[in-house]
Amino acid sequence: MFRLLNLIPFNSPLVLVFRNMRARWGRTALTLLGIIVGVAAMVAVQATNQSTLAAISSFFDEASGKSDLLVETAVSNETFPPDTINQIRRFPEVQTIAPGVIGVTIPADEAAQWTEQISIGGTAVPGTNFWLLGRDPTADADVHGYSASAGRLLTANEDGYNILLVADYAADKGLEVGEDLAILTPSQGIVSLRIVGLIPEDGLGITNNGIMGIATIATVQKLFDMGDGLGSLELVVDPAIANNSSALETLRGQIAERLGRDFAVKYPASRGETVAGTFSTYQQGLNFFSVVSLFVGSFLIYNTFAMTIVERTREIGMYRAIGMTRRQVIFLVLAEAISLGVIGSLIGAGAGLLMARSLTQTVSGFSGQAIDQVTTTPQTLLQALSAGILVTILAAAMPALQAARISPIQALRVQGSSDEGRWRQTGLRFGPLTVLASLLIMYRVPLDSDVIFYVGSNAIFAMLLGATLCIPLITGPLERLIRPFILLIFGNEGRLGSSNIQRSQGRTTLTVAALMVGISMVIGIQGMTLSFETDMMEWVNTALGGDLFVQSPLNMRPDVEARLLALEGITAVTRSRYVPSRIFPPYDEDEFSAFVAIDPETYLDVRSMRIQEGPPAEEVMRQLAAGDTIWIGVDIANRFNLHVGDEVVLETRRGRRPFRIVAIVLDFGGGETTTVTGSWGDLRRYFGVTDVSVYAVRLAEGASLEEVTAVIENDLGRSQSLTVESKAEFEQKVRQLSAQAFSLFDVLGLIGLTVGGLGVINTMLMNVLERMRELGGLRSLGMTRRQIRRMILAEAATMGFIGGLFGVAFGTVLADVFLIGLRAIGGYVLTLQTPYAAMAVSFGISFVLAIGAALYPAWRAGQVNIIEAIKHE
Amino acid sequence: MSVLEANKVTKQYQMGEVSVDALDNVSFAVEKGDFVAVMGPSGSGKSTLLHLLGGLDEPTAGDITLANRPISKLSDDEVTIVRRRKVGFIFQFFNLVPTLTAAENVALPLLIDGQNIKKYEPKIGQLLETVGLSDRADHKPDQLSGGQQQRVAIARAFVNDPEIVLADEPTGNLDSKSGTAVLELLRQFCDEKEQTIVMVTHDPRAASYANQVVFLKDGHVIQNLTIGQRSGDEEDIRAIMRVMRELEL
Repeated sequence: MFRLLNLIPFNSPLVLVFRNMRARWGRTALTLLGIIVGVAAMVAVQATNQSTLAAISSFFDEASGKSDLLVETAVSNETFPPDTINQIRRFPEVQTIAPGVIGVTIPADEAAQWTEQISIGGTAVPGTNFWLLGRDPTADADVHGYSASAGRLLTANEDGYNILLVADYAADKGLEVGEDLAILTPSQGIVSLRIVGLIPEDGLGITNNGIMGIATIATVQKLFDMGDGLGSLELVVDPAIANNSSALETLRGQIAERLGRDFAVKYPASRGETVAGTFSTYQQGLNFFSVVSLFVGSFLIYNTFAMTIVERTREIGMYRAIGMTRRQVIFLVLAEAISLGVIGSLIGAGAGLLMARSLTQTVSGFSGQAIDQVTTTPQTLLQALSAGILVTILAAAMPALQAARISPIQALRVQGSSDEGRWRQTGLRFGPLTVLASLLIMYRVPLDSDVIFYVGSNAIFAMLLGATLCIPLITGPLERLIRPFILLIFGNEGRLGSSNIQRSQGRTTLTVAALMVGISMVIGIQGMTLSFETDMMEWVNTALGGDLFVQSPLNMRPDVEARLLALEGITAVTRSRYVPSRIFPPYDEDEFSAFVAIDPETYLDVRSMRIQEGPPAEEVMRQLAAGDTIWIGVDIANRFNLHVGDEVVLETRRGRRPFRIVAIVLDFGGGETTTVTGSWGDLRRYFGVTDVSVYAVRLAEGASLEEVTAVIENDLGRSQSLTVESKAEFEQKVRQLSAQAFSLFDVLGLIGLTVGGLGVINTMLMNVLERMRELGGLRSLGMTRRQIRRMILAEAATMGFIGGLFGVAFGTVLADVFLIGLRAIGGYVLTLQTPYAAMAVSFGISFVLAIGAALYPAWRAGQVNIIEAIKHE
Repeated sequence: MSVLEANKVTKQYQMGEVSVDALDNVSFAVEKGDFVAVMGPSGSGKSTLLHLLGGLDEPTAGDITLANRPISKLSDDEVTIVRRRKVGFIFQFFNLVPTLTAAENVALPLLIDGQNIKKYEPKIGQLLETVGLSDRADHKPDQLSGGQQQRVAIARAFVNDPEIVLADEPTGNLDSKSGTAVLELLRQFCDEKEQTIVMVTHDPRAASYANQVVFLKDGHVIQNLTIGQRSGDEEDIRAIMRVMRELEL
């Protein structure tokens, strides 16, 4: 008896599906790749984003121990009087109150090499400084419960400057229990602390990536001149309330009300949300590009399905003739799509998680947040799987309908056929209109910032789709235009190859479109990066000004300014100081912001500013000096819809104060952290601060940068622990940071290009297979194998050329639209820098990629056997 | 009793602005057990007639009744079901599915009809034996010769016990030896199983296996010739050729 089985039981039409997939394994693999790459990009980006957020929130969860609520001053990093504890004790629900203070410093032996590391969030990278935590050993036992892995823990009656160190950090520094760690202090110079115990790097020990020590509160208060001020109170609440979110919220409200406006009563995890919020614009951008990858993938899927249908016209015609209904034919195609969608999406999800491992490392690098593991939610995976399957089904839907339209009479004909003409018709009808409509939406319709990401993204997709439909309209004229160039490279065979692209319009269109989207992604991303970098560098050169920046791990005394000015080779010095605050914009919710104080007297001697709205710089300084005024960055102005003359309220140590906006300037100082700039007078008045974060120094003409640096660091700086960074070094740091941050986008651009390349392989192979008879004919007429190969390569090159041209054109639009999006979502106002270099390189890539992808098909074409080919049906 | 009846069937094609009559008012009946050959020069309308008779295409005017069903009045799905259960097709280019084995290709119409293939295994085996390919059941089409492929196609056409089998130039793509084997098989099905067959051909020798030859010219049936029952009979071939000469076909 014969064997009917062949892996899959022959009892369902599905067998036809699976056998076809296996028989056309190359095509199946290409389709799968299209799905895998798209889904992988989606999963990778989402998992990376989630892992970042999870790492941030788990960090804060772990570091907050068993505490249920956290009390800080409304202006974070400030201290408050210890009698606040008594006010909270009145709440019987609060079982434990763990007070804490933090002194930020660095070990004395690192002072010489220290420079500030900033993240794209605009905050210092954890681990750059050493944090000395002042803790109450008794309360900590209830809240954090850390134990000593060596030595002992601190006691309630600790005598002397004793500390606990994190074991790993101590090992890195080569320190053991009983030895001393010397740190810098603001007023007592270098102070040695005796290590009495080591704790593991978990729980409270992960604070500042483990670069921390624990001392008593009194020790930290004394070393950092804090008086008896406290920095935070961690509260452990009665479990009955802690486990009931509404009861806990009520208690939180009651405590907040009792403490008043100068305090913030938070959930410990909310600190994580604040940090996470600084990455939101960036993450939205990544999400967008990951969806674009799936979009490009859908072109490849459509193309492979459409080709398979054309190739199988006679087979499907026969199915119809022997009794398969149209519905059954649609089922056959869609069953294949669903199978491929499921398999591809599953593999894609796995690949995405693998990709996320390396992406999280990159994010970890520039965000300063250690991300140990890739985490994602079942929803994300489910979403990506559904998206993958849905896109595959949608991409296969048209070929499925095309297949169902195949007449059974086709089975009796010799060759399959396709309705290529409709591409031109559809293009003519919808292409230019879709492009125009999407451009209008992007440029002319004012949109609310909540919906702009979704509407904008869809408008971009519509534009790319419209551009795709326009391709068959201009392929002809464009081909004729570039033919001389192709002739120049490929000789006479180039003429044949080049004109061939007008034959399979649908196929050509989608291949060119895939290249176009890939290239436009790259150019869009490059345009955005370049615009960002250019404006950022302009800011570095104007607002930052100066030739040198003098910093210290501890804030510097104001008298350093006079001492710097006294040095030879220095003509001007200006100081600035960052203090944390909160901004209360008139129309939006309040949020964390940094108040940057500058000295209006000296600012313009060293620095300058690019004013977008407001009076000239001198007048701005005059108004700033008058007090109760600020200038803001154009990103904040946009985000909160603020103008010159508006008032915003800032949280200060003296309560909430209104400040009038005197100018709106180009400002990248805070990264994604909101910053406002005010005067030194206001800093003293409202924040009670007099020390300095940074001195910007202008050198005299001809003064040597190295000499001045050496003098500051060695003579002036030794006692003050000053470090000097040149503008060039700072620029380098900013460039590196921005390159790192944008590298993830580049990865997604690369994915788009890869899919484009796969599309070319697919199309050219199909063209070769379909034209076997013709190729045989050409060979029989005396065309050499080499000439055949050149002809095929010329066809691919023409596609690459057109794809590149379209990509460059729409990529430039994309870059501009991204800037609009950045303005709407993040508030950044950037001037579009046309990325000429990227345009030229991308165009070249498109051309070379297309030729490279066609090498194998061309080789196959060259191998054609004349006799076999002319017999080919 | 007629298995198939075409009544005043007309088929017009639109060629640009010109309308061309591929078939003009053709009436035609096939009785059960008949083996009818349709002959005529290129463009005479014989393929069009076969398409219409098999429900692959719709007539512009006239009625076609196949197994008592007025197929020209049925919906696409209904005609498809009639084709699936009542008609067998044999194509010039065999049209086997390259990914299926010979046995699976034979079973294809049953698969499309949602039948339990297991139940039909003996029948499929028997059909393969009839066409002389029992030992090739597990072979894929590319492992079979043209003649063998066409014999698989014949087994496929008869697997669902159709009321009628329509064959379009079944020997057109075969050498004469394989062609003869195929024609003998068709004759055998006709004689032994009383199967009704309509075959389009331009080859007088192939037509001589039928017992009735219908001549078409310019969309009209111009002659109906009844011949003897002996397959490939030289006299029948001569008679067919004589008619062809007379009709200038």
